[in-house]
Parts: sequence; structure tokens; C-alpha cells
Amino acid sequence: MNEHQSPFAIADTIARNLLPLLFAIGFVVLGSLPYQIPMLGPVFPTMTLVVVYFWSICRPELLPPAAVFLVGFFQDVLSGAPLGLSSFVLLLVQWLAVHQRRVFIGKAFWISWAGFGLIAIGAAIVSWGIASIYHGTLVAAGAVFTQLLITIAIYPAISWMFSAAEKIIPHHE
Amino acid sequence: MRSTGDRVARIPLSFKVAGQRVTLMILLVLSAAFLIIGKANPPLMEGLRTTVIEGTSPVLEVLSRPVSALNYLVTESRNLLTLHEENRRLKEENAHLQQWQMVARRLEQEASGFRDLLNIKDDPKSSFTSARVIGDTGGPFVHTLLMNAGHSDGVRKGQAVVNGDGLIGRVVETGTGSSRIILLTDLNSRVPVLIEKSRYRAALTGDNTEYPQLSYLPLNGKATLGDRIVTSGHGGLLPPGLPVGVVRSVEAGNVRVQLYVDRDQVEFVSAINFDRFHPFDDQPINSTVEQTKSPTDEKGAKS
Repeated sequence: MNEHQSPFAIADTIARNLLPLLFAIGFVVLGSLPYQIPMLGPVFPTMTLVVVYFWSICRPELLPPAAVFLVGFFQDVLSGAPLGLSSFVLLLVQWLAVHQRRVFIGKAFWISWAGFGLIAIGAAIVSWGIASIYHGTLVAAGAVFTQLLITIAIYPAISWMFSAAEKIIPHHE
Repeated sequence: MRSTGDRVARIPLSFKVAGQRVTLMILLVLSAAFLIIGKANPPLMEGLRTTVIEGTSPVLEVLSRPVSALNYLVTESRNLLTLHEENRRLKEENAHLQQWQMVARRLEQEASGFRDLLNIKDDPKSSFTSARVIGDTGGPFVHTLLMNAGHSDGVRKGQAVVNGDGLIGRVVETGTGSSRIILLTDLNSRVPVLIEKSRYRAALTGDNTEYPQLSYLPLNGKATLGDRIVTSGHGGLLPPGLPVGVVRSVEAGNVRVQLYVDRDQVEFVSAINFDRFHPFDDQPINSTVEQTKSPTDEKGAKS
């Protein structure tokens, strides 16, 4: 059925399928800009967490583990965090979300928000633990906590945006 | 509704899912391996990091411009509101500073006279490379900035980075056209400083909180609130006397410093090329940027 598509249509389909990955990379870059807003730097929300959670539940085939790994890698490179930290945490999040997607799919919004909250808390604890082991000291947890709260608070807005984007990505069937 | 489609697609789909599960496990192990290798052999990962940042810095540079334009607009409009108040404050400050200027001139004369008398050796000359901050890379675990000048502009690992307010941090990674600055608040930042008045030495130690700590103060060394902290120049890496901050709190031997530089207000920075032998380089850095661009130096510093 795809044999008579024009090159433009094929490129269009590919671009639509790449949307989740582009969102993730875009958010990493946006999160690295100097906003000169007081105290924002250390607590800028972990948008990639939202990206990975949302798409792992909604359309896992659009964000394969390799893409998640790359996004985490890119994030660590730009932020200067220990390389491998974000990849590890994001892959864990993906694994959990894909496993539990039946719990969330087609349910009320607040259920997936609560699920995100739980996963974000877990992700924050795991990253804090890894960073502490890596640096050989207990890393100050204040900023991690604030970042967690901001990330959970911003989830509805981002997931609304993703839901809108999801509608324009064709299903493979 | 799509049950027939599902049944048809079940076999390849489950196959695909199983494959993805294996990939996920492999990638998890790979991430863990990255963490371990990065800890065991930091230079290996640093090379990888610099390469990716080199590729991304033009994008960051372009995107950081509208952000800074917007910031400029916000600051300007806020300034307009407080123009009168600001003007009155500046007039007062100016009168005060003019008195200080007279004192400073007299002291300068005196000091240069004493220097001549003692035939003291001058501090080495330093030059600097100024650049724009193109990234305030977020995250609660590391406090760093990215700037758009690198090795080809004379920026070297270990150099002090300042702006008009005082010391910001040190250069930790250099690419060809971009570098990463570790801020004084970062967990891994250690800078030799002294209390300006009492001349007690200490190390300014970041711990990822807003106010870094003064550690290794001598037992009889006392810090009082409001004491100015400046770089001591020990270790020969940073020039002495760069303003760092003031003592903010003293609690049971835990001395915290309020930095002069506000991380969120930093737009342009200068890396100081301090004319001494550089421990991270194979050869001493020459005092001018032109000289550091010579091919031998490039080779020496890259190795």
C-alpha cells in the first residue's frame, strides 16, 4: 500500500515518526541555554523524563531504547554530568513505563500523571544515588527535590502538547 | 476493532518487543559501563564530550542570542521603572567613590615607592580571552557554563574565568571553539583563597549549594561576617587578588561565602591567561594570544 507514495510523502512520514526524538533533543538544547533567570539553572525541569515516559506509554515504537540512550548521552554531554547517568535513568524509566503501560493506557489523565509522579520520584532518587556514588560524597539534595517538583508540575502541559503531536503521527499497521 | 490486524501482527510484534528488551538491557549495561569508565579514566570521556559539544556549540550560540536579547529587554524595562531611584543612588555612590579614588591614588604612589625601594619581583603579566556564555547547562548535579571560545582562542584548561564582578570559576574542558567553565559552587570546585583583611589562607570548596564553604582554615584563623575573600594565587594557577565574595555565615567552624558573581547575570566572561608554567599543559603559556596559536603549542596542549 506504500508503494505509490511520492518521495515527499515518504519524507513527511519519516519526519512525523521522528517527532518524539526531535522533541527530546530539542528539550535538551533548550534546557542548556543561559536564561539568566535567578536560580533556574540547577532546577530546570528534566523534560527528557516527560518525553520518555509519555512516548513509552503512548507509542513505544516511536522511541526505541537506542534513541533513549542517545538522548541521555546528549544530555549528559551538554550538562557536564557523569556520562551514562541520564542514559541509565531514562532507560530504566522506559523499561518501567513500557511494562506498566496497560495500567495507564486509556485511563483518566490523573492516573498517568500520578504514574509519572511516582516514576519521577524514583528517577530522582536513582540519579541522586548514582551521582553521590560517582562523586564519593552525598550530593546536596535540595536542588534535586525542587527540580522533581517542577518536573511533575509541568507534566500536564507537556503531555497535552505531546497528545496533540501524537495525532499527526501515522500508525504502523 | 483492530483485532484481526493485531492477530496478524502478533508474531513479528512480539519478536520485535523481545528484541527491544534485549537492546534495552544491553544499553543499560553500556550506560553503567560509561559511568565506570568515566570515573576510572576521565580523559577518555572528556575527548568524547568535547567532540559532541564542538558540534552543538554553533546551535547553542545561535539560540542563546534571542534569549539574551529578551533578557536585555526585560532588564531595560525594569531599569526604566527605577531610573530616578537609581540615579539618586549612583550620585551618592559617586561622591563616596571619589573620596576613595583620592585615597587609592595616594596609596598607589606609596606602594610603588615601596616596591622600588625593596626591588620586589612583579607579578607576571596576564592577558585574557573574552567570550559569550552560550550555555548554562542545567541540572542539580553539576554547576557549569559553556562559553564560545576554546583552544584556538588561547583558552586553556585550568585558567581562571572572571567577569566585572569577580571570579566565576575555572576552565575544565576546552574544545577548539568552546570551553566548559566549572563554577565555584560546583561540587568539584576547589580554589585557593585568603581572607583579605586577616590574610588567613583557605580553600573555597563548592558543594552544589548556592554558598560555597571555606575549608582548611587554620585552627587559629577566624572569619567574621562581611570579610572579603580574594584568590590567594597559591599553586600559581590563578592570579592573586581576584575578588571572590564575602563571608555570609559563620556557624561552628562552617564558614559560607556569598559570591560576588551572580550566575544568572553572567553574559560575557574572560578567561585569564596567567603567565606561569601551566600544570595541565606541556609547556608554559606565552603572554599573548597570538603566540599561543602557534602550531607547536596546539600540538603540545592537545597531547
